[in-house]
Amino acid sequence: MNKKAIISFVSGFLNSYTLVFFSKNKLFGFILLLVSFFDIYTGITGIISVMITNAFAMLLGLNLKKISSGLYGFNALLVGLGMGIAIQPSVAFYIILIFITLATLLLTLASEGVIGKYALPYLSIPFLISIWVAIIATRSYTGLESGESGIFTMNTMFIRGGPVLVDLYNWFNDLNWPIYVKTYFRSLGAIIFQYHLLAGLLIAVGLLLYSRIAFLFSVIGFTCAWLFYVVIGADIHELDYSFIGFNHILTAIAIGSFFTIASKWSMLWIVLITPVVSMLITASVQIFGIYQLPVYSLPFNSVVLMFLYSLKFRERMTTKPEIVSIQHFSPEKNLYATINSNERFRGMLYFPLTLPYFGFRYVAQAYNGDITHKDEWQHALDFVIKDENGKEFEKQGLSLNDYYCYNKPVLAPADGWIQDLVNHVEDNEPGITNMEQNWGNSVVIKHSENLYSKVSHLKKESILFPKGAFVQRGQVIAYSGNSGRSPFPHLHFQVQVNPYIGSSTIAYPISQYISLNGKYKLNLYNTPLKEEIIENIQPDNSLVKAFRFISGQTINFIINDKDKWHWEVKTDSYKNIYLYCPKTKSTAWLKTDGNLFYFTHFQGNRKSALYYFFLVTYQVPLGYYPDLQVNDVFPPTVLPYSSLRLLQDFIASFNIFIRPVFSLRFLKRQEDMAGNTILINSKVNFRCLRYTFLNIDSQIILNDSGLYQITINNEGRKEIYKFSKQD
Amino acid sequence: MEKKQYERPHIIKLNTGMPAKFGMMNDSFLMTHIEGIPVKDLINEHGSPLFVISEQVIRNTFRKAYKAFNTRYPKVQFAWSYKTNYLTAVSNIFHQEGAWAEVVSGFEYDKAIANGIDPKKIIFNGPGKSEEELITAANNGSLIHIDHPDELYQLINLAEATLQKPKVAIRVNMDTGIYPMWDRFGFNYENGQAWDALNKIMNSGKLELMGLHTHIGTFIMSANAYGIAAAKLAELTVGLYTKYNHTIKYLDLGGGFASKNTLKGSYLPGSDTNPGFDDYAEAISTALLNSPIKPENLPILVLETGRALIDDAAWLISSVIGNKRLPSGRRATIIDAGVNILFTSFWYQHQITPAQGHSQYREDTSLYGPLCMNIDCIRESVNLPQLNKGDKLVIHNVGAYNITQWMQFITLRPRVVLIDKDSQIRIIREREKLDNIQMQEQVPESLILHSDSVVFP
Repeated sequence: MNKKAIISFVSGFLNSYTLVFFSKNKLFGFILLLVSFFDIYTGITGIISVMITNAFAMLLGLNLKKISSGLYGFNALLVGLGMGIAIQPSVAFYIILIFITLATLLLTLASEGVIGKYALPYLSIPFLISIWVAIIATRSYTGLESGESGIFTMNTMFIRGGPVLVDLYNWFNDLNWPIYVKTYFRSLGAIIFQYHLLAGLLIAVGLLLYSRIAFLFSVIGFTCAWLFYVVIGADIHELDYSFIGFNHILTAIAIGSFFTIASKWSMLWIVLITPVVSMLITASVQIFGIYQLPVYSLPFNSVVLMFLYSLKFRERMTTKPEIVSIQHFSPEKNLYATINSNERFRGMLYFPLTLPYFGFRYVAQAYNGDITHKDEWQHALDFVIKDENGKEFEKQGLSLNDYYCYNKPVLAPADGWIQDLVNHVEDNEPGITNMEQNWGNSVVIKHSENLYSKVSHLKKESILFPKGAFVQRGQVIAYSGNSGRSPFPHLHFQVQVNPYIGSSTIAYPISQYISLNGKYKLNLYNTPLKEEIIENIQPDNSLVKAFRFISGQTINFIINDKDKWHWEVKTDSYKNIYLYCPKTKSTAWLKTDGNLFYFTHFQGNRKSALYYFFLVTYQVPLGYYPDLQVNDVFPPTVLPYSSLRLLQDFIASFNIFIRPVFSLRFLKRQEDMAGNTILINSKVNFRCLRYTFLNIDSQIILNDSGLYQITINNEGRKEIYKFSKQD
Repeated sequence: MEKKQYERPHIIKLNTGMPAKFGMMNDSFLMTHIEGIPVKDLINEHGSPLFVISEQVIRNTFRKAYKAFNTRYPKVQFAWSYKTNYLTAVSNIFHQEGAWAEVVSGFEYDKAIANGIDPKKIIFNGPGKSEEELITAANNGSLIHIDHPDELYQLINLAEATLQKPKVAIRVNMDTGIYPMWDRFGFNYENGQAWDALNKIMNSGKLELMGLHTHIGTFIMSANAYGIAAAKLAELTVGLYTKYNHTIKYLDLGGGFASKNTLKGSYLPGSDTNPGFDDYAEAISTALLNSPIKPENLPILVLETGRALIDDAAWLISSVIGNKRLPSGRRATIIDAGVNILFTSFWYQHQITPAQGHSQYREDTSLYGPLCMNIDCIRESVNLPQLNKGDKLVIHNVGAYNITQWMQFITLRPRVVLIDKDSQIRIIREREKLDNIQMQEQVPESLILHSDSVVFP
């Protein structure tokens, strides 16, 4: 076996434990492993089944990443633990265990195939089927003896741990804690088949270590169930029977914080779904009672699957609660990453469309305009060119040639195919409209299935491409004119779902543009407003060069004129580009599209130069506009862990108060044909309750050879990074 | 009410029948005010003749020109052509609007630097650059446009010693279908000289090839010629990319755009027939955008147009010195502005308008300057009303090439004022005095005249 396989195997082992609680936290994994050893034979059985299933997975040649993340192990682990506690160890038992484990693996794959098709998790369904099969089957295997550890707890404990363990156990059981608290802990313990307080306590600590949000939801779920039983007057002791409690706890963690982003909405659904879980438990206990089978986590599995499936049918309220799109295996990370990326990259799901012209233009009519952008055609933009005096024409404006917007290039807003065009309509004299051929000369470009853009009122015979031709973003496709329903030359732009000239419009943002209203402003995935003066970002070569990181490149720099450092530019298999600092083992993921550069994520040493670089160049527009200011916000995870973060984690579902802010301003540009020299100031700040957690002021200088120098002033401590010339 | 202008009696021959197709050519509408300021006041205050320049017109024209290009091509840079008008105030208006500087001599180079422009934003053109000038320009990082092979060799040799690699472009001359073809500047495109020079630059490794430059001629009345020039430069650009993987930073299409002046011998007025910025912009940008240059490698388009940006922002005000009747019967008027300060009157039929009221009657007039030289004729024939001694005339479109080509000949040069954007009158060049001329002169002791007047006791 090669090294990679061994690493997968080892990490797959621990992850199999933590995945039971949707986690990949190694420490939590150790705690669970420890707890499983409260019953030594059960613990051993658990280890054996995880090892065996992962070994089978290797043998079958399954995906190493999945093996190492424990995806194939955790169901087998539960089967192993369940069997271990129910049956006395013997040679026959271990032989059966091997094959039950194999069966679990096959069931896991089957579940992955069937349930995965619906983009749903298979949870512990393979475990349920396996263990039921095992229980029923072993009834006929007379060689196996029922385990007694679950029944004669004290005896077993005395045999395995001596009087100390018994005393410890009794001390915990005799604790005069409220039954509510005791039941909660016992229910937690039951998740890995350890039905006592100490196991529950340890798991609770692990859960808290792994995620404050998950812990909070486990308590909420359990409390809701408790209250429900109180209200309907059901037997509270039924809840005391641990299987019942843990179904509520797991459901709350899964629905409330793991598969959705924890929020007040997810909390609301926990409150609403708890009685459903409760009824399912009672009903299934009755039904399975007939076959003397425990229901285990059946109610949890069915409710979570149904609920997640139901969420897919939503047409509204799609973010209340929001489904986790990238699973970080931590409710905190999911929440912070989602909220931050919603704030930063709200529009990233849109296909990027740019403005279809050169230079600044005035938005004469925007969405829902008062002239013609109405009803089905309300989502359209009209652009004209105005001079300093606010006029659209020179002289008297009696001839089309007097209009600034007449006969100007019209560009493709994005790559696509010419879908349809009209090229023969006469241009109107100023003031005249052609209501017969409403759209005049027009081009519809197909960008992808169900996404078309259209430009209209073009100059007669000015379209440069035939139908079906492929055009690239920014390519001149025609010239603007005054055909159709257009009294004065202007450029009409709209986005539509259908491929026809005259189709209804849809609201669709422009990916990036600069608006000028006394001051320049950067707009990301925004919709231009009436009377705005806007243009596409004009890239500045020095900025583009400074923030162009190509995989394989090495960035060399010197800190404070003495220490030599370097970063490596790398890409992963998902084409994500990142900077890697080998000295501090830190990584910063970045994105750039020629007009905008930004970091998405940092991992590693928070004292490294890379961390500071990440902070001070968090977002940089690649076009120079004097005094342009850019603002952005970091997720709470950008700061090292502190007691403040602990508080934040607990209330994260309601409010994010750790909001370090980023601002950047272009100060100066010295023009040079070889490459401009640009001076940028950026600030990173976070204050809370009069305490300053982050206060960085930086000065970034770029020139024709790219990054030149960054001065970082961190609360009075000054560091200067001098970059070597980049090729 | 103002007193009516006196006009002496006149007799007109009665023409019967149909008028000519264009009616009577009449370019003498009244212009009593310049930018809202009475011409009379300007003369009273600043003397006659007087150059008047409008800051607002300069800015408006510049913005219009910039808009014409900027709405058609993504990267445009203007460079102010110093030789058309290098008064500091004028140049700096253009610099404030974002124009760089285009100079053609060491003197102009120094003037641009003295005006405060960053040397990196100076384009150094022209066939006559001295070694010292080349070294200074190279050290400063200015853009040097190489004109001929000897300059190229000289620069390659000098490059050893300069502080930084000289940043250069070559000037290319070419056939764009117009006459005359300016083939005396730069390297020829058609016969391969241009490629020869480019190969030498690339292979020497001592020069930083930044751009390509052409300047196809002056007062070009056909915008298409620029389209052809742009296409040919684009071809060189693509060639350099293919052969040397070298990306050209800019293409300099030079100047030569016609202003609204009317060339001598033209039948129709220039303001109606000459191409505008939009026409030139259309031809150039279309040629570049449709060229095989990759969109991400599109070079910056540099324009050095001077005349079309400044001509109509300046007027020359002059006063009538006297009238006479020539033996041919033609009327002649002598004014106080001569060809020494209005060099362009050799090229153009300048539009000339009276600055005071007059009757309908007009007469073909020859307009002479005050010099005692036969060549001092401002207009051989211009249709003007009857003028009296002391009446004012406004000569239009005089912004380009006059204040740089004027000479101190027979008389001294007048004052130049600027009407700034707040309509304030600012003197931007003082009228010359005898001292200004004398101070340059040195007289040998033996040639100093001593008064020989006899003093009677």
